[in-house]
Amino acid sequence: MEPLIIIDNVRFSYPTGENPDERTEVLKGISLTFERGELVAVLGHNGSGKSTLAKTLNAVLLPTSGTVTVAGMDTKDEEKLLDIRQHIGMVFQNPDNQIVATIVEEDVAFGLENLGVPSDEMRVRVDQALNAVGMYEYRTHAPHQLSGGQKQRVAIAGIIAMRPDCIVLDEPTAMLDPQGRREVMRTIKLLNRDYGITVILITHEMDEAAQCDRVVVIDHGEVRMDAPPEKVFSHVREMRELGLDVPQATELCDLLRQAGYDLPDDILHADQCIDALAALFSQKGIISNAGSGSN
Amino acid sequence: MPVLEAIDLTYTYSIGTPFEKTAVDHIDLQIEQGEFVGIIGHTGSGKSTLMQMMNGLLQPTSGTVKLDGKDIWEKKADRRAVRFQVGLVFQYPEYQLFEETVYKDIAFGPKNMGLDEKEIDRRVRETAEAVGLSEELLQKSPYELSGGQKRRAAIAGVMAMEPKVLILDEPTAGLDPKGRTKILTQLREYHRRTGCTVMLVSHSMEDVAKYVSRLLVLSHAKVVCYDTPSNVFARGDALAEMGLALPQITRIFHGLRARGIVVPDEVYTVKYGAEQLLSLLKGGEGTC
Repeated sequence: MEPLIIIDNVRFSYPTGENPDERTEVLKGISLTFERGELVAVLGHNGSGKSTLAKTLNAVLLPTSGTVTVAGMDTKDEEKLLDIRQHIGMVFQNPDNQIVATIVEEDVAFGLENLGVPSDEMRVRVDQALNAVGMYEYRTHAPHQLSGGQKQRVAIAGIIAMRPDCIVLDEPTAMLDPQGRREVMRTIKLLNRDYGITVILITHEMDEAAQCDRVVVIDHGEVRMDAPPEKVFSHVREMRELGLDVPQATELCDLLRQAGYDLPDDILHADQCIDALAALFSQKGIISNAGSGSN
Repeated sequence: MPVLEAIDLTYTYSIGTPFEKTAVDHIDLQIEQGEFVGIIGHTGSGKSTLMQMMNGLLQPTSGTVKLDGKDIWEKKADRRAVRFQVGLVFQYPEYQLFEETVYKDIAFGPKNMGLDEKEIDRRVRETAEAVGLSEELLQKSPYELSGGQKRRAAIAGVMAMEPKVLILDEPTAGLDPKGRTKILTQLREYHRRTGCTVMLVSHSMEDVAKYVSRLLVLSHAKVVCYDTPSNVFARGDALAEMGLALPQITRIFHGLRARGIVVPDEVYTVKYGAEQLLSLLKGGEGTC
C-alpha cells in the first residue's frame, strides 16, 4: 500500500530582513515517508526545524520547494485542504491554547460541529473519543478545573473525534509535569496500538522517543538519522553533538563498553540494562545467582 | 543561623469555601546560607506556595518565615526589602519581559532598588554575561530573542538585584536538553561565584541531582526529607512509592541490588554509577 505521507525533497525558507533575497532556510531538502500505523518520533533540539516540518504535514505551511503528499493528495492543492486536515490532526504544546469551550464534551465536539456531523453521530464519536483518552468521566467538567495532562488528553480527544488517519503532536508534553507526561504518552501509544492511528510525535525528550517504533533525528533542517530507537541511541556521542540526550541505561552501557566490557549497544530501558549487567557479573564470576534473573 | 527559616508554616487557600485546601501543612525548614537546594515534588505538593511565602509574596495562614533571623511579617518589617533579598523567578518568566530593550528589562529591578546609574550598569552587564547574553543583545528588543535567550534575560533581571537567596520555579521547563544544561550550569557558576543561596524547583530529578547540594522533597503539603542527594536517593523506594520518577540510573542500581549484586544504593549520576561498576568488575569484590 502507498505510504500515508510522502515528503519529497522539501525545503522551507522565510525572508529575513528587508531584502527579499535574504532568506533563512529552515528545512534543507527533507525526504521521508510515513506508513499507516507507524508510531514515529521526530527528535531534534529547539530550532532544528522539527516543528516547521510538522506544520507542512497538514498544510499549515507549504514547502518553498518539494512536495508533501498525504493519502495521495498534494498539500499545495487548495481544494484538498479540508480533506487533508481531516486525515492529519494536530496537537500543540500548550493545552490552554487549544481548548475553546467551557465544557469538556463541547470542546471535543467543536471540530465535529464544524464538519457538520449530525448530532446523534456526534454524541457517539465524542463519547468514543473521550473513552479512548480516559476522560469520559470528566465530560461535563470545565476544562480549567483539569490538570495539564488531562487538558492535553481532551485536546487529543477533540482531534480523534474527527477520525483522522494520523495525529501529529508537536511537543505535547513540554509544559506538563511527570505525571501528565506519562498520561499523555500512555494515551498516544494506546491510540496507535488499539485504534491503528498513525502517530508522529515531535519531541526533544529522549525517553519519549525511546517508546516509539522509529526515531527520525532532525538537525539544522536535515534528516540525520532514521532508525529504530535502539539503533539511534547507540550513537551516544553523535546524539550529544546534536544537543540531544540518550537514556541513562544506554550511556552507562556505553561507558562500560568503552572500558572493554562486552555489553549490547541496543539497551534503552532499565530492566534491559539490569539483565545485561547481571549477566555480565555472573559471567565474570562475581556473583553466582544473578545471571538468570527474574526473566 | 540559617538564612531562611520556616517555623510551623501553614498556608490554606480559599478558607471557609468548599474549595478550601491546605497547600503547605505545618512545615519546619532551615536553609543555610550558601546552599544550592533542589525542590522536588508532585504538582500540588506545595512547592510553589512554599516558595512564594519565602519572599513574602503570600502571607502564611499560620507560622513564621524568618530571613536572617527576623520574622518577615513583623509589624515593622520592610517586606519590599525582603523581596530584594529573596529574588523569585517564576515559571515561564519570559512572559514577564516588558521593556523596550533587554538592557532596560534587566535594569528594572536594580532601578527600583534606587541604585545609581553606574551601579545599575555594572549589575546589568555582569548578570547578562553570567547568563551568556552578549553585549549586542542588550540593545535589542526582548521580542527579538530566541526562547532560551528570553528565559535567561528574565533570570538575569532577578539576579541583577543581587539577592541573598535566589529562588527559581522550574527554570528549565519546556527547554531542550542543551538549553536545560546551559541554564543549570550557569546557575551552578552563579552559585559558586557569588556564594548566594540558590533554590531550584524542578520536576526533573535527573537534572537537579547533578547540581544541587541538598534536596527538599515535598509530598502532600509536607516535607518528606531535606538531605544530601545521595541520602535522598538511598531512600529510592520510598520516593518511588510517592510516585516521584527516580532517575533511570538510580532504578538500575536498585534493580542490581535486588539481584544480589552489592552496589551502592545512592547512585544518581551515570558517571558515578559507571565508576562503581568498573571498580567492582576489576576488583572482583562484592560477592553476595
